[in-house]
Amino acid sequence: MPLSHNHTKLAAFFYVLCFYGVAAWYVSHELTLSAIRPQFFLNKADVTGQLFMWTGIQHRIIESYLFRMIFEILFYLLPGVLAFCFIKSYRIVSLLAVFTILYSMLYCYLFSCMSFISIEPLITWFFIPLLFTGRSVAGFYLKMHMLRILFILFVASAALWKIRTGALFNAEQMSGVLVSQHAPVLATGEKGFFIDLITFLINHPFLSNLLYWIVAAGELFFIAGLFSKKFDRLLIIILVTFLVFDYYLMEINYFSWLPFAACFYFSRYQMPAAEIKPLAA
Amino acid sequence: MFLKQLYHYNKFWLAAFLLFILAFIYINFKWGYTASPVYQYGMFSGKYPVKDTQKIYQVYLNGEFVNPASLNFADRDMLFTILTRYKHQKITNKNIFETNLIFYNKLGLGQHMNPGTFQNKLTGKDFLTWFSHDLFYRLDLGDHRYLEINYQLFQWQQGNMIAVSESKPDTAFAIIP
Repeated sequence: MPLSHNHTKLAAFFYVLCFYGVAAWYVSHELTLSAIRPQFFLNKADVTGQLFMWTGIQHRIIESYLFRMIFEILFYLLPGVLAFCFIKSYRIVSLLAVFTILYSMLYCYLFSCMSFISIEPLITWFFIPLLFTGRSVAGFYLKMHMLRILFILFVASAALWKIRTGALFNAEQMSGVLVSQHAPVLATGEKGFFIDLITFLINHPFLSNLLYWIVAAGELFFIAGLFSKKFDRLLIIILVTFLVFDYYLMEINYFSWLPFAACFYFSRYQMPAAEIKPLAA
Repeated sequence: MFLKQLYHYNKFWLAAFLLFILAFIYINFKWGYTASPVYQYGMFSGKYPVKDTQKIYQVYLNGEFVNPASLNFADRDMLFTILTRYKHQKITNKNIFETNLIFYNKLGLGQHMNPGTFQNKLTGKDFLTWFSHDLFYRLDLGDHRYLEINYQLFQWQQGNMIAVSESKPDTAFAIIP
């Protein structure tokens, strides 16, 4: 079955639903620039990110309450407006999508410099709007597959990094990760279900490493998606499992990656035949 | 084949797509700097020895210990990682700027970059005032009172987190009356 306008609208709706769902979590945990009221930034070893810093915008965010508010409100408004314009097929959507991509990249970069949130979970907000940079279904189909392949590379690279650094072969790797990740809580000496569970896993390195290996295998399995789409349902399950475990075991919110699941869900549809351009002579 | 479809649909998109993948491979191969929007996704791929010494900050409000276990993880990360981030910001920002300057000098842009733009303006006192306000605001404790920040070294030994040093005030964080 070919991809239709209805599918693309559904994808836009899913994106905006995920965005505001994740946004609600950030707002309720006071993890916004307005709530944090940042007083300093910690720069990143990022060559192009320096171009953002070069503008001096980080100082404006720190010094001006009004600027910070407007800067943030725009970031939270854009996805909703973009999805609305896309669903309504307004002409402005291409321009708006490009603006959303650039603006969200700027916001996410600065937000991660001014909070403890790393940039990786935030990439969704400047990658997914790429889908909406046009109104044609064929264009949507191709961009969706571009994002699908990129996301596969991102996830698979995490497994390759684990092999490259030798972390995968460290018999106590996951125990060490858990100690490092939960050190302030473990140091309190308190008891409770979560602390007991973490302590149990740390003290059973084979068991905890088994989790680490399963995660690495899951990440590596994403490579299968480069050769076939028949595993895409399974990849969605692996992704969602990863997000759930990351949240409850590692206490890291990666649910912002959920919109990428749409690229794997809609991949089963074919490129609309009417929009395939004839091969060049 | 997908790349063929993309080629016939839009050559610009194909070029951008391949360029991004090449940049991604290069950035990952080089192992160090990233270039937004091209990042590295290590996901705990560094080596984590279980016996590594952990430096833990301990925050006291009006002489009472703020128990990290009583906070949700977002508040906990915000309060405790921000201390480490503040301690590192001056030297990290300086090093990153100087390393990037080599690259931007080659492009002829370095001379237009003001080092002050890449550094924070706040003082230690500013930070502590903000931190204490933020802490009180997050913990809903009303007015700003008395804050003390200590640190202690811990190690995982015999199935538990064991203190391997005394708890002492961090010289970077003076007491705010």
